Amino acid sequence: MATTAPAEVDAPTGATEEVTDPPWVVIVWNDPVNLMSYVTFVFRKVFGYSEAKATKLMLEVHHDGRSVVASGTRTEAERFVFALHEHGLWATMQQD
Amino acid sequence: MFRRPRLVRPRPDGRYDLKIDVEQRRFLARLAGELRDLVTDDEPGTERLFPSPYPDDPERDAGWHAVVRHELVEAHLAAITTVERTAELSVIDEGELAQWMTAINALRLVLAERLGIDDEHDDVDPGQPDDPRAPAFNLYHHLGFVLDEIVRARSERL
Repeated sequence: MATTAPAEVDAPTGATEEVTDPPWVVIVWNDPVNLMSYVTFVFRKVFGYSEAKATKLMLEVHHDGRSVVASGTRTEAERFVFALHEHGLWATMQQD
Repeated sequence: MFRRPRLVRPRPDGRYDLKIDVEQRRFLARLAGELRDLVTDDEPGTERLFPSPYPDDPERDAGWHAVVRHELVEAHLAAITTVERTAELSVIDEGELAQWMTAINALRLVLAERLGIDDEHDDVDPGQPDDPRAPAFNLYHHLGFVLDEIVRARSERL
């Protein structure tokens, strides 16, 4: 499982299609099973967010039904989605 | 004031004390073991373990599952194996506790699917103690309690 926060990813120096594409966003949806404390922990672990930021996003998921928790290239978004799925969270991704 | 004893405690050496008695740990390990066939054989009731990242794009979604699903299965199998291997231990390390967390959360997700939990307030009616679903709901809540304790202990190390 993903046990470390992802490193900061520098934009590639060469022009690639991904860089010019609109960013992808990672969305976490509310579900009735995952504990609030657990979701906050996963956000801290997967994204390296502070407790305050992770809690804010968790509450958005809880109250609004969904929250955009990260954005980036498609590859980065897929990496995040995989880590969230590994933790049993309901995550999707779409182009912004 | 009554305070529940902590089930998982960070130790000074970086590992964790499990204050869950060995019978309970063996029970959790047996439960986790029952997940093995479910995740390997793609049994109904495991849908929550394999969400769709592209719900509006079936083609991309199929491509994702073709590539990623076995990796998720492997991650779950590794967690199950770790729980079984460490069930007799009262002191485990961070990686092992992380695997306990994964396995217990997976158990909750599968149990929720079976109990048809669609709302966080879904539960048996306390006025109906003979409800045949009561033991499963009790187990579901207990797993939540253990999971919360693991999260609490690991959060202290972030």
